[in-house]
Amino acid sequence: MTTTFLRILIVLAMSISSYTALAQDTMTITDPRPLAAAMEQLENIYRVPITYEDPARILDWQRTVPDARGHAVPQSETLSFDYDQLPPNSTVEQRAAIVAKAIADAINRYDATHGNKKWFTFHQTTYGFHVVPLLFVDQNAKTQAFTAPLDTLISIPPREQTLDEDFSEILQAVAMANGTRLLPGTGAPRSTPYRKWPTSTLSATSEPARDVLTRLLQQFPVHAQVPTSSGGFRQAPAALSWQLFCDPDLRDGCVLNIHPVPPPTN
Amino acid sequence: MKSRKRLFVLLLLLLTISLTGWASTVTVTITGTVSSGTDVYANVFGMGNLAGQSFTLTYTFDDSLGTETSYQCSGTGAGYFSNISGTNTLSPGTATLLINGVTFPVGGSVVGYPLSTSATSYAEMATANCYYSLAGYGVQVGYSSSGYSGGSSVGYNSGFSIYPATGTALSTNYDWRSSIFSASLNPAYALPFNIDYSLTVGMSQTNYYAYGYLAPSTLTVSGPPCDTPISETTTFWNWESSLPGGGDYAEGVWHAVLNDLNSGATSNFNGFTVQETSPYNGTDTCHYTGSPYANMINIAAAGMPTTVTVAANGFNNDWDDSVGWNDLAVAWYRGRGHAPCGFTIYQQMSLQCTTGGPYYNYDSVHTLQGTITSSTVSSSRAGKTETH
Repeated sequence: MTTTFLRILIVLAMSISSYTALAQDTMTITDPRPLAAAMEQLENIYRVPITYEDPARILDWQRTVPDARGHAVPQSETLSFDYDQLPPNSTVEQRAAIVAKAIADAINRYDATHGNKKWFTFHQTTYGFHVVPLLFVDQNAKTQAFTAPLDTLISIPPREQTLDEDFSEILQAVAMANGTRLLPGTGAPRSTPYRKWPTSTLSATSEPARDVLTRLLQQFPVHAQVPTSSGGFRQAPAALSWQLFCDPDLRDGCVLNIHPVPPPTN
Repeated sequence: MKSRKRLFVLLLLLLTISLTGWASTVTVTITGTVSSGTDVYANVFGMGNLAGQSFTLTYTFDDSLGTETSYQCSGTGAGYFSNISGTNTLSPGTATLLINGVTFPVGGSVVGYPLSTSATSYAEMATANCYYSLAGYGVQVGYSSSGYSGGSSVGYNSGFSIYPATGTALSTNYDWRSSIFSASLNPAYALPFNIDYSLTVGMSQTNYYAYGYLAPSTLTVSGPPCDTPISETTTFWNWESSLPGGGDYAEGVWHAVLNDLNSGATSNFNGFTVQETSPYNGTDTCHYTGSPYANMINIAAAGMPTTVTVAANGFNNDWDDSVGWNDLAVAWYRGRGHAPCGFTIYQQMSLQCTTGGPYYNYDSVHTLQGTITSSTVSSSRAGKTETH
């Protein structure tokens, strides 16, 4: 009994010491998609892909306000949550745990301010993190379970085509299977006759579109300029991330925006 | 206050220097086997008979020193030969010769070795374009201080050029600075080396004497910012939707031609890779809070390959740059009543000198713009605009 108690004390002390060793900050976001904006901020802080996907008809369950031109735009809301700073020379495992904790905190805070329902969840992969919607509000104002478009199982037969052609094929495959039109948005890869992305080696058999998309994005040779201590720049491989934004005016459509994640500075 | 002023003047001076020209270091590495050679006292390379030993000969040239010349073919006017040479304080080159694990410096200032009091050096490159494909490098120095007397040279004697292996060429670029990745050489054309000096300390004199010929097998030239282009010329080509294969109606395609102000050559950059990046974010006046389309404020947002091979489109020294909106985004912003609006993106171009090597920025930062009105779209690059 005493030994067990001591063990608990030691574990508690270790947890507290490791916990207090991390500097903590609070992030406050005001945006129509506060969770999306929060994930983008965390990407910039932690330098790992954190993708975000809207529920299909996000504006249906949000209060909207007319803009200057009379179009309904979602009203901004505020989300506040805590996140830990990365300690110097942190391992991949430490980094992943810290990122996961921050995402979980953001989602929990979001859910808490939206009727304490589980609106979003997140998945951790070797590539990064995916924030995925679980619920949506239907046209009768009822909360329903939601299957994200990128959870759709798709198949891509192996064939010789460029990376951007595979990207388009994924969008089409989701639309065919799920009925949600995924439109190429900002940063969506495309080629011209004389400026082409490399050939892809992608294929998939009945896999979630999210996994196929992740695999495809890993093939893009994207680099970003990273400042050096001497004041210059070096080229560093950059991972790609996405934001899937939906809008009722898109008529069951969502826009898939792609962006590079800033490479780690160390 | 005074020191701040001095610092400012110094910074201004440095800026002026960097803008007026590239001072670059070119490293030339030749490897091979000593075809014949003797270290007479076995105190230069540590052994008497050097024949059969492998060697590494490394030249370093500073292209801000000496005089550069180049020549064009009489008929076509195409460049085929260039060189740099100079003497004493304007001698651009130094060398090191590595044999049997011992590196001997020819020129430069290396502790434990004689300091040169006179120097002459040169580097040259010729293409098969109306001449022979060859290269030549030489450094010759003299010693007459601190008890040292004599001199050393490697590759210096006139007429000792390096030739490529049969059936190959060293480079298609006649600029002596141009990078060459491990070209195979013809070992029949050997390079001479001669190290002959003495050191007198008090009444004691030590003689050093090694000589012979180096049969080369590989040549590598690590160039500086290659033959850096100074600018691009931008001219409108067409709209993507009007080109074979089609594309977005709102995307204008611009010819970007690289101008080489160093050599005046017109085909130096074909096959090179250029890259576009955004040094800082621009603006997107179409975007609004809550828009399903993310902000179009940097090169990454355009979704194009950021690297492109020069002349892949079949035009000399040219690459094509598409600037404009995705047609779906145009329809969206028009439908939302946001037109007229547009994006402004800043573009820094850079050139890769060697495969897998670093990129070097060139030209000033370009401004790219895509503008949407209720009935037209515009594409702008580097101060030029087209609308349809």
